[in-house]
Amino acid sequence: MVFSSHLFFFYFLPLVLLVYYASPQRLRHLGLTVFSYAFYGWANPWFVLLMLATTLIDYLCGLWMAGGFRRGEVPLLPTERARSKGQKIALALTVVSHLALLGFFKYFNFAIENYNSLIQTLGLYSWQWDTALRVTLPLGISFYTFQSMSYTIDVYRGDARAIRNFIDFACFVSMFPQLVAGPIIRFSEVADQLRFRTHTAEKFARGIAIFSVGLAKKILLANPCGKVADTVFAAAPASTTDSWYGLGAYSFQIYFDFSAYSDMAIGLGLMMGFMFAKNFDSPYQSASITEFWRRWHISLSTWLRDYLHIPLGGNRHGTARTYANLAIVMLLDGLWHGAAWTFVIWGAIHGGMLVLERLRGKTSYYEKLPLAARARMHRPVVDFPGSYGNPGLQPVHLFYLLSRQRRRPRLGRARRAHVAVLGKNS
Amino acid sequence: MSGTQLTREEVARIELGKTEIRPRLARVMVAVFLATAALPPCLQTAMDVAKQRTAPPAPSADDTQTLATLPNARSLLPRPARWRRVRTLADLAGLVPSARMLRQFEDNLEDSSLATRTLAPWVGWVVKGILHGGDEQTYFGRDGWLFYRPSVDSVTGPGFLTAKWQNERLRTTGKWSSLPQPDPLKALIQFHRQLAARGIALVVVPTLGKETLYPEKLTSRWTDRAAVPQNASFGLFKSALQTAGVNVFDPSTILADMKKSSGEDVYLRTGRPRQWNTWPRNWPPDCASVIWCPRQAP
Repeated sequence: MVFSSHLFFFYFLPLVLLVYYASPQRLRHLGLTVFSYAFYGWANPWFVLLMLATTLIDYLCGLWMAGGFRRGEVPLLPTERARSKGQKIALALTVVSHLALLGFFKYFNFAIENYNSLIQTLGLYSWQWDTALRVTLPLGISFYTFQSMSYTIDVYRGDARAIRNFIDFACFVSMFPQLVAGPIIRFSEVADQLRFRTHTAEKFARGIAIFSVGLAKKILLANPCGKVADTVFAAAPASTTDSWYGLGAYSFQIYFDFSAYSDMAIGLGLMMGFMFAKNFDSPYQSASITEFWRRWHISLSTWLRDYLHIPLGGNRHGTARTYANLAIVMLLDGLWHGAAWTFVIWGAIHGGMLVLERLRGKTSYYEKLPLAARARMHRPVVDFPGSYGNPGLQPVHLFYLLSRQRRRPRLGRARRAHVAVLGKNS
Repeated sequence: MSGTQLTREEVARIELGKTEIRPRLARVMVAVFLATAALPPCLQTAMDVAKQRTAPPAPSADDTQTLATLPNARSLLPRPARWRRVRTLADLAGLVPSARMLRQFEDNLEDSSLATRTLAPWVGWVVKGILHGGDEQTYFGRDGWLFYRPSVDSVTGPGFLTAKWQNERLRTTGKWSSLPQPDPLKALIQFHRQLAARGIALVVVPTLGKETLYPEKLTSRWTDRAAVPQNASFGLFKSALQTAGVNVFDPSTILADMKKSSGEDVYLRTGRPRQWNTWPRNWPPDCASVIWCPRQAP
């Protein structure tokens, strides 16, 4: 069920709002959780078991870490004190279980394909794993895994108080507005809202406005752009001009599509009194790749910064380590987006570009250009085609090439698309 | 949360800045939104219930056909008798509706919806007639020409004899239908042999979409009026069939010549000038005779 579907807009949403506002305060989260599980189970009813299991693990481990099984208010763990062995085990249990599930469901097929390719290359045909088993990726697992992990990590660090009410916690993990396409809501952002939040007509109206903008973005902009991109990328062979046209259309498609889902999620949250942080901030107006990552999918960038980059050492251990950390984070970011080598390359190039900009002090190498021109470097399509003499020589276009990579999970196809874009296909 | 840290609500208030919504406007927005979202399903459900009372639906062999209306959605849930028969975990698992049933229900609900049926023609008119845009099935060409999207895509897309295309075809074939042979060449040659064994000759006549004969109506960039665009694999496909002894009658050259020499339409127009038929079965009689007469000649 997608937000722009008939079933969602005309049946699911009115029913959720009716039940939510008709319920007494203490039952609202229960209703929201039941509807969220129904929303999630609509894609495949069996996936709800997986989400329920991970929710239970995190809930119990959170309480274990915070000593919440005892009576009384659950204490906030002191930030400066060392953690006990039990607390460390509880954290490891949740992190390992989440990563194991994500690894299995998202990367099993990719691993098998690569293993078989390697074995074939080595000529060891009898060693091939010729299994019919192929794993179906549960919807939104990448999002709710990160969201759920943020809870236990925040509790462990002492940034958030563990939650005793299981329904409230299940509501946080499964909340349908942001369940399948983000933004990744961190527990510390909504912990106080789960306890108390206001419901006003003004908030609801703002929710309607933001949801409507998201819906319009999706239907009127993202979908038509996607059709253009589909047509161009299905063509064989595509000319250089067509390839650029398709690339531009795809760049806008991913932005409008992704930001539309975020807008709709934020709008739906507001209708139920939740205030989620914004996820996109005009990323194509960025004047550098560093700035771009501050404006694009903000919830993922900040998640990776706080839960991966900083624990790796951030920029506290010298220049070389800082660059290595940046590269590792971006590689994993790429792999998080999808299980294919193109995503790894996508992450590697972004990591490389971030390192290059860090070498210059977080500025782009074209910083001497006027601001308008710098911004345009990141949105070639806006000025397409006039201002680009030789797109192949402008590394900033790599972003769009990378976007292209994300569309085409097969390396060969992505390579052919790049060749076409660079005008080398004739 | 520490006491000095701002709550999310406070942060949001700061981010909003001076944007304000007056209370009356907020109430109007809420009322309009709720009416827009809730009225169509309420009306639809009332109509469906009334219809069911006057004429209950006939039992259907296909469960999913009975799920087109909301009142019938309860049939997605197992009946009490099935609950009572549950003895094992497998029995319990059998009660869960399949993803396919849910999808079918959603599609039927949308297709049979009063809102869809009322609004879809108007939306189509605005998108195609005014904005000159296409949809899932249509490309809007020049001078009001419409083109069948899958047909155009099959011409402009990758060669259909390439391994990648065939693998993709296998991959994208629905889970519920089987595709025994993704390679049309192998399938046709096999079919030819089977027919030949029974003394029947196979004649393959490739059908032509409008885009092959009127590419200039699809895009102004097509300047070679004599050329007939075909899928990248078409030439190889045709020659391979001929090599295998299969009769292939490709009418593209004849039709292209006819269009060039007489300037006549090689497709029938329907009632509305903008609506053109897609398939060659709608060739005008003159074209059909041009195509078939040479085969009938002694």
